[in-house]
Amino acid sequence: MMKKYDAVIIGAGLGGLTAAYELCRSGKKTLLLEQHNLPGGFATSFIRGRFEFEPSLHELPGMRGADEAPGVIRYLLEDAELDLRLVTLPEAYRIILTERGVDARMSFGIDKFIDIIDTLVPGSRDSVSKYMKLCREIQDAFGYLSEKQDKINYLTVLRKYGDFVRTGSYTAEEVADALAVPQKARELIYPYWCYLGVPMDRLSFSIWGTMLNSYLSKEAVIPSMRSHEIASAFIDKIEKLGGDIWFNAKVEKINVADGKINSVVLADGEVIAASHVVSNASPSRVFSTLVQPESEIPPAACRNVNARREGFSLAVVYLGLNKSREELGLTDYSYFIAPHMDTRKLYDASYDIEATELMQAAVCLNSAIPNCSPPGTCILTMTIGQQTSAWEDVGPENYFQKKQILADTLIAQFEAAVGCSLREHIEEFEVLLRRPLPDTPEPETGLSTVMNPNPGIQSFRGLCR
Amino acid sequence: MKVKNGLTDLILFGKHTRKRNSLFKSASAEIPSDGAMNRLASRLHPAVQRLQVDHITEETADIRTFRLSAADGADLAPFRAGQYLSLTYEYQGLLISRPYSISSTPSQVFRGNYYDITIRKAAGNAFFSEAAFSEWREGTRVLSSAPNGAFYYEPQRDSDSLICIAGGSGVTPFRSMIEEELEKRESMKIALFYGIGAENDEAFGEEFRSLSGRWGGRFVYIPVVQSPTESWTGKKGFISLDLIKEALGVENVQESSFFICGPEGLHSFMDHELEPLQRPSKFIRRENYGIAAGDSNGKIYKLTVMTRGARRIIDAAAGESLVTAIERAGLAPPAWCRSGDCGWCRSRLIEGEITTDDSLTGLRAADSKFGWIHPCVSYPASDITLEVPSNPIIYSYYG
Ligand SMILES: Cc1cc2nc3c(=O)[nH]c(=O)nc-3n(C[C@H](O)[C@H](O)[C@H](O)COP(=O)(O)OP(=O)(O)OC[C@H]3O[C@@H](n4cnc5c(N)ncnc54)[C@H](O)[C@@H]3O)c2cc1C
Ligand code: FES
Repeated sequence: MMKKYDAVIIGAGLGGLTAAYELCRSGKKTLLLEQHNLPGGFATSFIRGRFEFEPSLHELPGMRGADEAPGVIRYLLEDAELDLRLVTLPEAYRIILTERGVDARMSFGIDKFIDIIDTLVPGSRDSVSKYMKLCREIQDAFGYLSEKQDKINYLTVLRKYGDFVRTGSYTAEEVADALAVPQKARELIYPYWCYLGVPMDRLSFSIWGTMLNSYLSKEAVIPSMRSHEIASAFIDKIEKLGGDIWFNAKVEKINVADGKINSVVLADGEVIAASHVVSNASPSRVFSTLVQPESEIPPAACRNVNARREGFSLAVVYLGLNKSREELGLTDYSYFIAPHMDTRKLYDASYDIEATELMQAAVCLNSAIPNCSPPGTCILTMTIGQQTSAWEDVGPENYFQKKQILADTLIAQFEAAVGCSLREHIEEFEVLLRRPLPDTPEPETGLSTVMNPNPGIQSFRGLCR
Repeated sequence: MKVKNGLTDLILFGKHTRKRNSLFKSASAEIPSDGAMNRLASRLHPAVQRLQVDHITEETADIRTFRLSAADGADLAPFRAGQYLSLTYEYQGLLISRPYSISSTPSQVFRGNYYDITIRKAAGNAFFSEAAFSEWREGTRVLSSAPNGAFYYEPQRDSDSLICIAGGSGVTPFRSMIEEELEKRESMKIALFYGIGAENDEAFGEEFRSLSGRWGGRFVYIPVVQSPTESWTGKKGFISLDLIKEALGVENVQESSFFICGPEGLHSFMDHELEPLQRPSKFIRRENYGIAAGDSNGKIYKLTVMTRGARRIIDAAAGESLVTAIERAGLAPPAWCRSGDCGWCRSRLIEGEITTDDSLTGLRAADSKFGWIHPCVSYPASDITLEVPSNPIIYSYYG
């Protein structure tokens, strides 16, 4: 007999898990389908030898909009009451720009952040303060928009968030120019650009501002057992609420008739009746392979997908090292390392997988979670953003070799910048390429999600309500 | 604040939304495509590979090499020398799967689109190997996973002087590694110590001897026979540290990476032998071919297996892993490595007690916290209820 559900959710990434949790909580008969045998999607973990690696998460920022709006962390711990232990990160980041002689540690907390910049770039306090205040306003404006959804009063927006409106059509670089933020200060402020993968002279200021404020205004955390702990805690919760979860359950078809969904079909032939489907699989996947028949795919939905361009895909080098971080001199948690902060040049280099003029974001997990690996060892991961197209000509024959070249570049860059030696201590080694961050919008300010009242959707598709 | 001037800023904001909407409207309405990255990913990690036996070579009386090519003409997934495939085949009405190291080289996939696997017929209660020996002929179809495992030479991590130690059928990944790595890098030196019971257990002996001729000093081949006949002039007994030092010189031993492959007994023996070297553990890589059975006290427990809401109650013997119990009952559980490593058998323990060797299981920390186990290295210690994900290979096998 065909099983029947109120809602089927495709994919147990953080987005799918959140959706399943919300639907179960509101009493809907819910089935969560995941093609892999693990939940979490990007938010997972993997094991090599004595090490359990965090594949992707660097930090969960506080992400509170207006203070009364629930932030992500409050949502996880207080609202969903997930059985999670979150660890607070020691500092925001250390930025090392080798050609510019910059090496600075930046703190969480807007005031402290401004203080550090003012010490390093005397005379910058005034402009940087204005800049950070503006970022705060942008995030508050988004908070208001997402709270009011379709009941937005545009006069209120203009009155309360006037600068959000006035800066809304400009790039991050244009706004920094308008406020006369000194170039040297920008070098210290800009590292997070690489998480968005659009150079500052094309990046929408609204997107940038809200992100910067969310990263810096509150302390950030990570789960004590890698992202797999978040995913597992969600699974536990959903099961307790009576939701069904199937792993190894790849959806192959979504059957639609007369504009209405009636069922999904799994790769193993099982058919499940449902009138509602929530997909955590990317829209391009849904429309290119899942929805049947093709005539039921709304042209507007295709346009919406085609108007966007894939953003950065990420390549990560994972090192399990057989010395402690103290022995190796890895004093910090988060490192941004680049020759300079010319984001346009760094962006252009992302088209070339063998480029050496690049910016890496490295994390030493033990600086936040001392016991995340056995005593006398530590975990270091190095991430860079690249254009998907850079990998287009790489075939299975040279794939392993290209990954080695990339690893050599990143390890050498890190060793030189931090002044430590890693190579002889590598006990476990892996390089993974992650598919493009889903739905990163066309890297033009014109197509940013500036009017999308749900900023969380852009780069952190998971964890959005 | 103003960026250009107050009015312009406002007007531009208004236009911005319109521009955005018009970009959406003017975009192509064609069905989007799924991307080049995804295509490469599915070539590298196919969910299933349909293989057929092309050719069978008798290596010894109880060791055979099966050449497997794509039954459906697909391009086989590339691999790193030392990795294994999990093969699935129906035997005596049961769908069974076992991991086998690939004994051909990665370049043979690109040149000839095939994998060799070399199977030794297990003594005693052979099952899969018996199936292969008694039923596999040219044209026999088997299903395979993508290549798996982390037992391979890694230039970022390993010394480029390798000491490979094989016990019995554990020689198979080395046949792949030796050819591949000597060919690929000039600085590479390899010594292979191959422990066998008797002279006629030696598989690939001629091949290895001719390779050592071809590569000069870069490849040293040393078979070690446990109980040889009188005419045997080579090394005898077990692969001890002294024997290795004597053959290679102390200095070489101090600088090498060890790759050890074979049954559990070999690993505990070598752990003990290598201890005085005080080699950092990064230089000792292992592939465990057979996990010793659990404690058998003769007890049979009740195992309730839940999959997609369906329940089956089966027997599980105390000394047998849960994966084996489920497989024996004809329920074909997902499993690749069967040694706790790969996590493919990951299941949720709903109720009951198990015993497991923590040093073996590559279980994630959060999995322990939330009650997930790797049934391939878990043994029942009470009646058990286990939620097991369905195994996609069943559908691929029977269609
Ligand atoms: C290297 C890296 C570093 C990152 N660092 C951070 C960070 O520091 N902070 C942060 O907040 N974010 C970070 N991110 C981003 C973040 O991890 C992801 O954006 C987010 O987790 C995406 O979640 P999601 O639920 O939208 O999608 P996904 O995680 O992609 O989940 C989608 C799920 O759907 C499943 N699925 C797809 N198709 C089907 C089908 N047909 N049938 C069944 N199931 C299907 C997939 O298997 C997958 O489990 C990072 C990402 C990467 C790759
Ligand atoms: S089959 Fe690999 S962990 Fe169980």
